[in-house]
Amino acid sequence: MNKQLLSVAVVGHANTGKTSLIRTLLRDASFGEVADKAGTTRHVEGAEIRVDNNQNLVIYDTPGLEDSINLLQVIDGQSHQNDGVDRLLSFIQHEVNFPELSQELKVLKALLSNDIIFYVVDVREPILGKYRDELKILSYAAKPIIPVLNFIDSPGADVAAWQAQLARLNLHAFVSFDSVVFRFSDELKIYQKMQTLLAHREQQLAQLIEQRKQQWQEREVAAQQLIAQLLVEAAACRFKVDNNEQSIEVYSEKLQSRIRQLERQTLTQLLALYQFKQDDIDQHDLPIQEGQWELDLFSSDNLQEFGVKATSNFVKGAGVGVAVDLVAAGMTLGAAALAGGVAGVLWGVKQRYYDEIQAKVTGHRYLCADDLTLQVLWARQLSLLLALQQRGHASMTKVSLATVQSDKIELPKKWGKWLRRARQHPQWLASNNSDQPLLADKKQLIIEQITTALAAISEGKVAD
Amino acid sequence: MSLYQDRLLTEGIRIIEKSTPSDQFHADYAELSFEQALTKRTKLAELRYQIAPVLKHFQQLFTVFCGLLSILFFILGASSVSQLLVNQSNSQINFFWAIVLFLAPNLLSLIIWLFVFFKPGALSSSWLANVSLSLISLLDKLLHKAHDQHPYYTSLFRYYFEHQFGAYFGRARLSLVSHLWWTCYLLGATLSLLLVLATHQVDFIWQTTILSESVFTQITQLLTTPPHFLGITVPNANDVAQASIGAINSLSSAQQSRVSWANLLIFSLTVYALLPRVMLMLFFKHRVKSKKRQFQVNFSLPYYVQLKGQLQPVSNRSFISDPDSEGRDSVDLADRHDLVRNSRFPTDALPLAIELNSALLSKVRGQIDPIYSVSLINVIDGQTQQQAISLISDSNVNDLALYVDIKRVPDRGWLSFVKKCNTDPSMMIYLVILGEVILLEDERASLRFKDWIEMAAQAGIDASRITYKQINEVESE
Repeated sequence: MNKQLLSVAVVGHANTGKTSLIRTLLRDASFGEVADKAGTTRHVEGAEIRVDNNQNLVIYDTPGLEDSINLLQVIDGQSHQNDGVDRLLSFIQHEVNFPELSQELKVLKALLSNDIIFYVVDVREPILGKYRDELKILSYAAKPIIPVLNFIDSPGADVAAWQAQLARLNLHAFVSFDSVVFRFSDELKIYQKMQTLLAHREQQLAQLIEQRKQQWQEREVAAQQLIAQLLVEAAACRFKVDNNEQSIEVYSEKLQSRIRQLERQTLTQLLALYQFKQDDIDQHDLPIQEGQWELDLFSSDNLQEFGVKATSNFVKGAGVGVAVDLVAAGMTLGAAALAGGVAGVLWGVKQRYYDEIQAKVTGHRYLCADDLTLQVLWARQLSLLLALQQRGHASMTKVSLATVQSDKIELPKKWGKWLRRARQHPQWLASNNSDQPLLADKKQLIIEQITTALAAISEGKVAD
Repeated sequence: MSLYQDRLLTEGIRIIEKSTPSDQFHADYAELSFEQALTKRTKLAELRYQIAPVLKHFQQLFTVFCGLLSILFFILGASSVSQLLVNQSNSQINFFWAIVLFLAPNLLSLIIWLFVFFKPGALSSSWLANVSLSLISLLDKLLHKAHDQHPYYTSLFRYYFEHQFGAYFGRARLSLVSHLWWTCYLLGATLSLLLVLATHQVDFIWQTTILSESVFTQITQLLTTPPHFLGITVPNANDVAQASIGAINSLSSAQQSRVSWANLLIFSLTVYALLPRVMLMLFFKHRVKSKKRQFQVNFSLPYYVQLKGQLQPVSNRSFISDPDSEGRDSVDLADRHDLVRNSRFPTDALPLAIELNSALLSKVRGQIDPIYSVSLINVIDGQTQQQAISLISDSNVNDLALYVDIKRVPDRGWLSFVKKCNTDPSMMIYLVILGEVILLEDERASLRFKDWIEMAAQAGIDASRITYKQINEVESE
């Protein structure tokens, strides 16, 4: 199938972050080679971003234009034609005469063969003559250029000076981007600028923008669901212990280990979702405090829920009674309906509270994660999600969870209610091996509520 | 295999793979939509996981469960009628009591069903679902003792029946099941009634302690209106009066009265009880089918989002379009931190700064201009490069002292310039690398220092002519 391709050449001086930019756009930390030195990229390497079945965006990484002063002198000396493209073609024709400029030659070929050029600038660098010469060479290619101001969040970044310099060269449509501290809105700006400069490809780029937005949103919702599931399962996690210190100590450790395991699982999934590796994170153990939860049958929340359940089971139980009457040909109509109602209630009570009541009677306790532990867990996941969303795929530093301060994170209004609900449903965590009815829909409902709350928090952060 | 079954298989594979999709099922998914790619992957994965027979087994289990209970309810219906009618010692049936027994429980259960049906979530997690599940589990244990051969049988069992009785299917599925059972019950009762009335002669009467005859007349009129329109012989007001206990029927009208009462009883059971149940059953059968057609896999689940990234990654391939044939120039260097304190440079050397920023340049100038005979030139562009090269060739200098900032990345542009400067093989080039930090204490500076040494080696600058100087050292000299 012939695909409609839109191609971009990413060029710039050595060590300005061209490969890092592409890695971030591709969400692929394995693309090319990244190092803090010149001449790391020596091939012209391309990668495709899928738009749909018929359209792709192809991005080409190029070696750095390291010797632009010399290159410009050679190009200008080689040909006295006015047309820039002719000058470049003339130089390419005589490439054998300039083996020392073989890397630059690859860049020139990429300039001429692609639809648009991203010129990557390290804004921490002063504006030197060699950069001005690079821009002059780029102008010879007569292709639309989008200057990408990289490392804008780094100390020493002089964005204003670079903007002024680019404006002097009539390059007003620049974008700011930081391939280490990533912002999705910056990525969208790049495509929007492309739309402006490539009017005949507007539709294709609109689709690309839409597709990228959808992917971002899907990934965010999935991540929020994972966090919500973690919170529910961690709250539902419990161990039945004998009422003595030794048993409590043993099971406290088991509880901690189980909660850590749950967090690790979520972490792995979050990393996979955002296409990062385990090495990208500096994980500190979750500071779990042993929490103890005992069933309080008469807590207001419990009573409320129990009341609803009782009514509901009574009605269903009456249905059983009717069936019994039919078998007995109406001999016990009223009595059986009533007995069915009572049986329905008892069935509900047994299903729901049998374990707890038995534990109470036999002098056992249930250990579960306390509120503070879950608060820390929540804070860490929020922090991790934010870090992953703002992490470029070329970032070399690790994401750390050690510095999270849980008391500074505002908890959602229904926080307490969610925890109580989850703690009352041990069957929501498979490793609890509870034989209570799964009530998966109810679990899903809480996960959806938490996901919605997470989305609201995320929107608040974006708005900030 | 239907689309629904395909999707169910996909979900089954999700249950097996838990939270992380396996990346073992390689195929060309690039040209397909995500759903098509998923179907293709499901087919591949099915070869390994073999879920389809397990799901088919669950389906059969459910059918057997429904079938067995249907037969049970049919027998119950049939036996309840025979119990009611055959055991009457005096061959008299209290018509209105029979109507109440047949219609009232059915009506009551319909009301309960309506209440539960319209209460969100009530039916899907009801006792009926749990009891059904328990019975199915029991049935499964009784019928298929080898079922646990599949390693994921339990999880698949749990998923399948949660899916059948859960939020999406639960209301339709459980409604269908309950109407099916009631239909069987009422069908059994109707057939049994027909059989009993065909083989027994019974008289229909009515009795009351607190109601009047007019009430029964009105009820009878209400019940007989539809069959009357259909031309079925049904009791009239006179028949109602005669059916009262103590009324004496003439022999000729007695048989006619029996037939009309029997017609009404059969008609009432069939039309007022059985028919609505059959219609509801057919409606929910259609609803279940339509739900199956509309069943969609929830692609927003983290598992599918991950899978989408796997099957159709954002970047689906990378390639080298213009390879490097030369390879990188590498210089084998040992730890060169010993170069930090190298010798002093000749004072007759020509000092050249390369790309120093203004702050650093002024500091350096203040310190070294008195040392050298020539003023320091800062090379920052093509023009200053030309000036420097001209100066070198014009002044016939023997030595060249280059000052660079350790923060700058040494590149081929620098190398090219240094090579241009080095026109005379006898000329000695010295390199002074300037920095603000103590080299051994700063990892980044240390690495950059190594880069400079490598580049200097390529420019032919001997290691003994390279030194690192801290800015404050420069100031104090």
